[in-house]
Formats: sequence, C-alpha cells, structure tokens
Amino acid sequence: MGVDIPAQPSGDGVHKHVLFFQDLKLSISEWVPFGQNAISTFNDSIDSMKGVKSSLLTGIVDEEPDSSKFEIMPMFTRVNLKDFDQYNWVKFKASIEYPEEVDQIEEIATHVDKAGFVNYNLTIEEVDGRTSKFSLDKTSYILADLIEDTSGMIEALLTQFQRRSLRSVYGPTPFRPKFTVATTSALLPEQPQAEGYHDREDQENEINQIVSVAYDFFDLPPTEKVILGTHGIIFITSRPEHFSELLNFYSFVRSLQIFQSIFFARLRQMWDMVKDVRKSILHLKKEEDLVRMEQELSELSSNIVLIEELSSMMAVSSSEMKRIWSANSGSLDMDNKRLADRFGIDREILIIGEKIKDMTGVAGGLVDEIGGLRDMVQTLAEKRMREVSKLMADNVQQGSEAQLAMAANVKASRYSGAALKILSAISAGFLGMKISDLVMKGLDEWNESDGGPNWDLGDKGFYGGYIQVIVGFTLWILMTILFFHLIKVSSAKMKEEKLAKDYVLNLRIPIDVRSTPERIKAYLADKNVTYHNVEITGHRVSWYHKQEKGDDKVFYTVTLCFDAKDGHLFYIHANTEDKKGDAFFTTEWVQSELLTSGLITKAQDEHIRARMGLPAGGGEW
Amino acid sequence: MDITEISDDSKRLLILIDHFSEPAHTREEREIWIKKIPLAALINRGVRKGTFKDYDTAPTLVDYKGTTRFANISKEGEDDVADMREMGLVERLKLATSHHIYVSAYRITPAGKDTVDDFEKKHHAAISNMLACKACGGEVDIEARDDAPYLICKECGADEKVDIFDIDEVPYVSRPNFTEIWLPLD
Repeated sequence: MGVDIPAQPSGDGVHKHVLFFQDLKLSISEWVPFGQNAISTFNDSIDSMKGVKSSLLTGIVDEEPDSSKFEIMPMFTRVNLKDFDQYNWVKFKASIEYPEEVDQIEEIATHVDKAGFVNYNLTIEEVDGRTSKFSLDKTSYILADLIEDTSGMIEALLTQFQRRSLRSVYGPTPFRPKFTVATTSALLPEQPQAEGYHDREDQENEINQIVSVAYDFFDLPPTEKVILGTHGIIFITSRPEHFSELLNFYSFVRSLQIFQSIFFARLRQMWDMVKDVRKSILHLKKEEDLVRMEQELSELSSNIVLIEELSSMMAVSSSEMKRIWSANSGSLDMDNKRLADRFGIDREILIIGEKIKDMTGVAGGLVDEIGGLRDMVQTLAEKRMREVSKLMADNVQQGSEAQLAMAANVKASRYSGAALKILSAISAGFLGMKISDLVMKGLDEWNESDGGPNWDLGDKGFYGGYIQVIVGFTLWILMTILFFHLIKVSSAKMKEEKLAKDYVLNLRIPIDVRSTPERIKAYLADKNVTYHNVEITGHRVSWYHKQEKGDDKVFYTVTLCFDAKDGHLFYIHANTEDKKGDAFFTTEWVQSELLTSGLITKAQDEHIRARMGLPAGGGEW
Repeated sequence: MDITEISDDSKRLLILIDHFSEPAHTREEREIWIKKIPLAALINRGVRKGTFKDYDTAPTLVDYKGTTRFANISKEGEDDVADMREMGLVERLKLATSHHIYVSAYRITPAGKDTVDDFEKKHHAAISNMLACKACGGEVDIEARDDAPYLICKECGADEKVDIFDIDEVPYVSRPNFTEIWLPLD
C-alpha cells in the first residue's frame, strides 16, 4: 500500500496522491509518415543547410498564393535546430510560441527521422511549485497537456500530404495516442520489487493513469524496476542514459504498433462504408442517389490513395526498423539485452512486418472493391444517360411531327380562310343581285298598278334596265362589305372565347443573383418539394403553390433553378392555368417572396423588374 | 474480494449501475446496458459532488462519438467495476462501434440487484441526491450528445452538461532533454 498521504482537495473535486516520481524525465513517441523526401523537405523548410538555427513554422495553408499579404493568428512552432542529416533525420528544440507569452510554457527536444519515428523528450523540473516528488496524478495532467501540444507542434512542421494522411487515420483531433516512457530514479514510496506496485488498488490505479493499463511488473537486477503498460512504461533507474537508446527504439516499435491498430480500424471502417455504397447501388431509387454515390466513392478513392501510401510507408518504416535493430542489437550489453528480451523486441518487429503485409492486402482489396463500385456507378450513369438521350430523341421526333402537323393545319386554315372570303363575296353578289331583282320587279308592278304613276319606261321598265344594273351592283358591294364585317366579328369572338378557355401562363423570371446555399436551403425548407433534379446546369426544384388573390386562390407550379454549391439563383419559373394568375400578379408575389426570404435584396428586386421591363417597387401595375 | 468487503464507494457504484441498467428475465425481454463513457461521466459527477469519497479522476484518452478525446476517468471506479465483475454483481459486454473501436457496456446481474437491495439506505440516498435534477429535484437520465454527456431531467426536461472533457491544467517547468537514439542508415 502507498505512503499515507492524505487526499488533497483540488478545485472542484478531490485528487489523490499515492505515488510520486522522485524526479522525472518524459519521453513521448509517435509514428508519423515521413520518408526521405519529407525529411529533405523539412530540412529545406527550416534552412538547415544554410546554417539557420531558429525558424518559425505554421501548419496553416496559404489559400491565396497570388495575394501579396497574409493574415494569420499568431500561434507558431519555433524550431531551434540542434543537428541534422539532410536525408535521414533532424534533431531540434521545439516550442509553441504565442506573442503575449513572456515565458515559454515548454521547450521540447524533438527527434524526427525518415522511418517516421518522432520522439519528444523533456526533463520535468518543477510541478505546481515542487522541484521533486511529483505526484503521478499531476503527471497524468501534464502528459495530457503534452500529448495535445506535441500534436499541434509537429503538425506545423508537416507537409500538407502528411497532415492529410494523419487526418485520414485519426480524424480531425489533436489527441493522437502516443507511447510514453516516464523515467525516474525512484517511485515513492519505494517497493523492494516492481511487483510490489501491482496491488490492484490505489498504486496500480495511479500507475494506470500514466501507462493506460499496466500488464507487466518486473525487475532488472541489480537496481532497475520496470512497469510495462499498453501505452507506456515507468522505468525506475539511477542510470537512465544507459538504457536510453533501447528505450527509445522500443518506443519506436510501440508507437508504430499504436498507429497500426488505429489504421486497421480505419480500414475496417472504410470496408463498412464501401459495403453501404454497394447496397445503395444495388437498390438504386432516385437519380440523385447516383450523384451522391459518385461523390462518396470519389471521397473514398481519395482516402484510399492516402491509405495505400501510408501502407507502403509503414512497410518502409518496418524495414528501416529491422535494419536499425540488426545494426545495433549485437552491441547491447547484458542489462540492455535482458531488457530487450523481456520486451520481446525481435518478435514485435516480426509481427509488425506481418501485420503490414495483411494491411496491404486489405487495402489492395479495398482499392479493387472501390474501383469495381465506381465502374458499376459509371455503367448505371451511362445507362441512365442513354435512356435520357433516347427520351430526348423521341421527344424531338414527336415534336417535329407535331410541328409539321401544326404547319399543315395553319396552311389549311389560311386556305380555308381565303376560300371563305371568296365564297362570302360570291354569296354577297348573288344575294345583292337577287334583292335587286325583287326590288325592280316590285317597282314595275307598283308602276303599272291602278294607283301607280304609270311612267313610260320603254320596253324594259325597272327590271332588266340600266337602273337595275346600278342598284344591283351597289347592293352587291354593300352586302359583301356587310358579310366581311360579320365574318371578322364572329371569328374575333371565337378566338377570344378559345383563348379564355385555354389560358396558360408560363412565366420565367431571370434572377441571376448570388445568394448563399444556407438561404436557399432555408427558403426551400417549408416548400413541399415534389421534384428535385440535379443537372449539369444546377439543381432544379419544383413544388405546388397556392397564392391568394382576393377571395380566390390561384394554383401554381413553381420551379427554382440554382447552384447548390455557391448559392447562385438562376431563374424561377411560375406556371398556372388560372387566368386570374396574370403575369403582373404572378411576378409581384414571386418577387416579394424572394425579397422576404432574403434570397434577393431590394436593389436586386428592382434590377430584376427593370430587366423584365416592369415598374420598380411593384404593387402599382 | 468478498461481498462483505465491498467499500462504500463500490456500493454506491453498484447502485448507480443498477439505476441505469436492467437484466432481462425472459428471452422476449430487452436488456438495458449503460455504456462506459456515460458511466464514467456519472462517476466523474459523483467524484466532483463528493458522493464517491475515495475516487479521483485523471485524463485518459477515450473514443467519444468517433473522435479521440481526453476525458476525466476514475481509475478507482474502473477497478471497482472490474472487482464487481469478478464477484458476479456486474456483467460487461464488449461491442464494436461503427468506427471499429471496441467499447464496453455494463449491466447489473440478478445477484447484483439482490445485493443492492441489502445496502444501507444512506448509500441509496447519496446516489439519489447525486442524480437529482438541479432545477426540480426530479430523477435524471443520461444522454450522450455531440459535445459531452448530459443529464436530462425526466420530469422538467432541464439538462445539465457533465464536464467529463474539461481537463484541469497543472503548471510545470521543463527543459528539453536530448537522449541517444539509434539513427536510420543511408
């Protein structure tokens, strides 16, 4: 059982302090995809070859390389070069620098090599005002801080490709799991043997705060004690330098293993995503699903490129690991050799290599699967395209036939119109002649009657004489004019009746305004969208709309065409068969709705109206 | 460990697990299990409120909704859960998430339920007090939201964030320490 130190209240809870490091050196390691090129690039970025000792670096990417200025939050990683090899490794002191900080919070000795081994090393000199006997409980908080800070620090030094690779495995988190070695001259209260700390109670609980789950407690005679955990080691020794090379190498092995396990989980997750996409392809329902699937597959493809690259970098790292081990393991002294045997380094290196082979196989299978699915989606898209093309060709043919038929009708209608006019002129002539016959005969009868004037009009009388010719011709002209007028009036009335009966408004309002995807989404949120099509020109969304007009309601079909990516509104189309929905009324409510929903501004509203040749402001048409 | 040796904190922890889990009695019934992070969040709350006298918390890396984060986890609580599993009072189920991370879920056993019934009233009262809604004193449930687990009152609906991801800062001074490392070869 630990030394009897009472629990110390701290902040809003209680922290127990059972075990203490007499003094403390912390080594934190992780595996990051590097390789010779990345080391070379890194050396260039800190001007190692030019003898520059201090550099400021950031992980922020310049998104506007053509601009002359660059604005950035002032948080950088300062690198003070210690030593380097142009292609193989770099050693430097690193710290995160803020402009307002007078004292640096932490400065860390950092080692980066082409095999991907990144090691951060520091000696703790003071914790919460104490210069020795650092509680394990407080150390666990320091470790949490260091794990986060070192992630941010190293990210500033990486290439965009390395950052993307890390993100594809860990996700966007600064808390990447790392392997920790806490070296101390004594773990207080001291136990005669390492096993003494294995109490399954308070001591072990505190040890687990440092190494995650402690699973091996062993002694390394004459004086060393070792506690081995899933994510760290507590190494109790009075001669830390004697074991540092082996402990650092073992950290390299374990950090690559930690990366491997997360990498493998990510691979399995991608398999699940691929499985979901395959299922969706086999049960394809809507055309837009095809677009979504293409996007998903494209994203998966871009991730799998990174995964494949990481796989091969791990394989290179594993080979490097073997080479380093072969070159150095033979010269280990007896103490280090016993420690290496206890760690089972030979076996671990072998297993790392085997696991990478497995992962490469799984990643390769994933690449093939994604390729196969892309082909399937491509085939479906082509099939859909062929169907659409055929439909369009059919429509065009039908349209042409309809146009021909319509032209023939129009021609026939024109001929029949002209024939009707000739016929009506002839009829008017006949009628005029008949009327003049009757009038002339009537006049002759009236003249020759007993009460008549009995004029002497020669052989012909009124009928058949020159008077009849004059009167008959005049009547013919008058009747023809009357007939033409009647035909014109009746056909205009028929046209009017037909137009009133077949009223259709197809109003297209050209918006051509840049809004935002969010506003469009908000505008469409309360529309009962019945049709949504994604086309090369953008999204086309339709819905039904009821617009009140007085006591009535006018029914419309409205279509909005927009670019969902940049929020550009192309046009809005409002159709109605209700003659109450005239163009003025329709434009008015559509424009005012767009204005109210914030999709267009007042100035844009006026501009659109002006383009349509309508008065600004609306309302007073 | 024997049942008679159960500490006060363990008793309260078992009552807590009993509160949020339920074993099935027939094949048709569904069981209720509490996941590790919500349980850890409740223990964390208990530590901060003084319900668990001998527990403390330390930052531990956990997977929460697919993202790795540091959370204040009580190793003593984890250890007591392990002891109670050995005693047959609690069952643990390991299950894979859609992110292919393995998570644990816990459920009280029928034997555990019988044991809980025998615990002194003060322990039941301590847990009830710990779980009481701040607004109305009603009973709360736990819900894992995107930013953190929340306690939701079953009666008034008030919610309260459990600060499991707020890690304390400890001031320290350090110096860089360059150690010998075997270097890769050409």
